[in-house]
Amino acid sequence: MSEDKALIDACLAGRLEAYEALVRRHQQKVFNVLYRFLGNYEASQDLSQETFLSAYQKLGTFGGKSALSTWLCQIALNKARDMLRSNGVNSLCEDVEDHGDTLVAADTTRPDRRAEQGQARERIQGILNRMPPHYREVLILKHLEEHSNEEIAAMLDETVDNVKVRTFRARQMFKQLFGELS
Amino acid sequence: MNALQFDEAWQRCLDREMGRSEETVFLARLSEAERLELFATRAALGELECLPRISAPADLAARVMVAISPKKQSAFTRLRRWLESRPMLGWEFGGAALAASVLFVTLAPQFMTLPAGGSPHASPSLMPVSHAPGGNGGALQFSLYAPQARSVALIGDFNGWGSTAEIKLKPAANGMWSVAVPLPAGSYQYAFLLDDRRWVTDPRAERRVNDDFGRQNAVVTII
Repeated sequence: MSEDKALIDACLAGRLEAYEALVRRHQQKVFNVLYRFLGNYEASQDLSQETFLSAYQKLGTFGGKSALSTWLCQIALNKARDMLRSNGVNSLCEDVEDHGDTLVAADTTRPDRRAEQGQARERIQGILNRMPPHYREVLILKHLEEHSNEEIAAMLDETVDNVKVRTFRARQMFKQLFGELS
Repeated sequence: MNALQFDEAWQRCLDREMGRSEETVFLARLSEAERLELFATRAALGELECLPRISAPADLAARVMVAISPKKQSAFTRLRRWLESRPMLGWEFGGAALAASVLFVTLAPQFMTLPAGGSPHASPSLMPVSHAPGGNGGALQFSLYAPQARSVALIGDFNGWGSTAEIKLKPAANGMWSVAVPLPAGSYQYAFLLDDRRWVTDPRAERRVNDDFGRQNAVVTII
């Protein structure tokens, strides 16, 4: 966080290279949140770029009340929700197969195991894609990004109690869909 | 334990926030069906947590930095801004441009008359060319505004319509794609290929011809 703060101060002082360092520090997180939320590689790539552009333009308004990564995820998820709304869909899933090599990288020594892992992961992503966005986002933030309820509440502009309720229901739905597809 | 406390404990158990003894006590309170439900949920969430991290695109940071970097202005734009910032010169850009145009139309024909028997290359700087070489060592600049495109390629008879050489245009933050291509004198047909599938005729082409497939190709002539 203190390193982020130093980089932000350098950016605000006009040092562009400091912003590049910030992008590199947080691009994995922003991209992964977007990818798991949208289920689409290209759209996640475009929105990651837009997220960092917006963040750069609004950097002066970042108060430091939350971690920079929390703020970035908040911007990213707002953009992603807008994109889904404007397309009138729940997710943009289409390309798990296109990027299979990227998604399945764990066991390179056993092709059969690798294929199994790939199918399991496709199934999990498929379940996420089927869930309503407001449930999907809490599961991603809680179980993949390991954020606390307080951090999630800050990202989603919600109360902590509402986050807990949403997480409870999202878990129930995920477990039910997981059972149906297993 | 009321329903609210029960739900709270259920969530803490799923989050593995309970100590071992607290969890044992909680599990003992559950019915067999509830225990199975809890373990099934935990197993499902465990699968979710196994999803791998995906590498962000390697050029993401570079693309962001290109988009936020101050745009370079052309020499013409810089000159115009410099002139406009000096009202004491009495310079009014529109009027000046009109005057320059009139001057050019009046004088240019005199300079563009070819010497008798002379080759067209005798005065190349004044010959009409459909695409004037830019500041790229004599290369032609091809450009297209396509903010939604993911890739834009230049195809034409000079590269076997994409079969002998791949010419990709580079995107700029303002939605413009461009590439500079060195071409010898001659007349060429070309088009742009968006996202490897959509054929687009250069909207700024001076001349177009129909091809054999019901499409139009742009024509550029270099003299």
